[in-house]
Amino acid sequence: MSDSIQSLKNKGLPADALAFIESLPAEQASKLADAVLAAMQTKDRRVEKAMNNALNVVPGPFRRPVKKMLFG
Amino acid sequence: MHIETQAELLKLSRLLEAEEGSLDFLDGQDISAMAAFRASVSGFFYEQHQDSYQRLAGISKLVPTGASAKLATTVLGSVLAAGIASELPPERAIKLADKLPEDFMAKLCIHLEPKHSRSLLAAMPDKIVATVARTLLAMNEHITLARFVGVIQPSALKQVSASIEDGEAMVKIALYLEDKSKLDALMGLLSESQQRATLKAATDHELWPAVLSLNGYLNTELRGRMGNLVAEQGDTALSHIIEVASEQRLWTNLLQAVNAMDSKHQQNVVNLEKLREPAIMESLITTVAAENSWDELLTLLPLLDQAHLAPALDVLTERQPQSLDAALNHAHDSNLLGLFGHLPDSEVARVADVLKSNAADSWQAFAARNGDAHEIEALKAALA
Repeated sequence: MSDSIQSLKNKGLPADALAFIESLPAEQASKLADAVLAAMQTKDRRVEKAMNNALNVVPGPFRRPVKKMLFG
Repeated sequence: MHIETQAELLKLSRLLEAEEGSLDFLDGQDISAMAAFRASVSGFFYEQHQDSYQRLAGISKLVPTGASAKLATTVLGSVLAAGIASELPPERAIKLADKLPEDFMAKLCIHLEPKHSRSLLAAMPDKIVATVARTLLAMNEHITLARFVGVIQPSALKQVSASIEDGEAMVKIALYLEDKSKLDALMGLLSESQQRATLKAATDHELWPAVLSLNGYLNTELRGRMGNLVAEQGDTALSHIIEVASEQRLWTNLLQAVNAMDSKHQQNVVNLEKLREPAIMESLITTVAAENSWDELLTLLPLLDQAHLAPALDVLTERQPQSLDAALNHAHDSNLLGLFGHLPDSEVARVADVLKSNAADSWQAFAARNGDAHEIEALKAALA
């Protein structure tokens, strides 16, 4: 199993999606898993950036409680 | 690559933000399995951040909609706004949508996750949907528009479809529809000039593979209407369509279209010179045998003149003699009788030879079921 497939498994990719990837020949499975993982990371970064942007417009005194609301 | 596979891979590459063509190695995989994979991954991506979307939606509910809209456009951006919108109660999201600029709304819609935004899109007022659809159309966002078609209210769909004059856009939206059962509703809303525009676009933009493929999803009435418009395109266009059907193995779709045409058009189409080319005829019979669409073919064979029937019989008796056995086993008897009754005397002997050597059992069973049919008297005599 490729590293990317294992990563996706660890991150909780649904079983049906994993089954599709694993049904492919090894090289194709690895390429597709790489693509899914890369997309996931891009989307993670995008959302994180947007969240930080949102936080930056909050006036200083309120930033901490809002950060707690946003990020838990 | 089959046109529907191309469409599915384009949708997947968009989801994965991968270059168009970079997932072509998936060609050959089952299309519905790829679509299910895409839906699963799309939902998974969304659920990774759903908690954040919910928190932001919670905050958004505390401030006036005008301020929320300002925040969305200046700070959050369309990606995050799409996630938040999906977590807002629809009535709140609609109030917010009313205050967002059209281009921002359109970009937001591109990023909506299909499963999680269904109820929001279904609740969106027609006016907002139509406005956003116009912007998406100008952006050539056909995949997003196709997603709209699947979930918006019929009244909104009517408004949206009335505004689409671009035939190329119409074909692409139809091609990207997730649920092709919606195609009847969409095509049924088009005026004749819009339907003609789709066919013109098919010629102008090499979209015949898409049009032929989509034809298979239409109901008989629409298929007939579209088929008649296709037939009016002239012999050059029709010959090109035959080439496309051959290259893309879309013969069954084309046969269904021809069967739904008026009889005067049928007669013309089946006797086009293009169909006499041996490679074309062989491709036709091969696809029909593989897809078991004998009835679609056999109903048309009696319309062939002798010059066109001969190449068909060449394939059935010489190059693919096993095909007649398949036809006898799978086609409706009345359609087989139509073919056998149409055989000229000069062809009876070679058809009888093939039936004897390649389809003896199935012929006997067929002849027993149709003992008194005059259409097979000559064959029975030749086989006696």
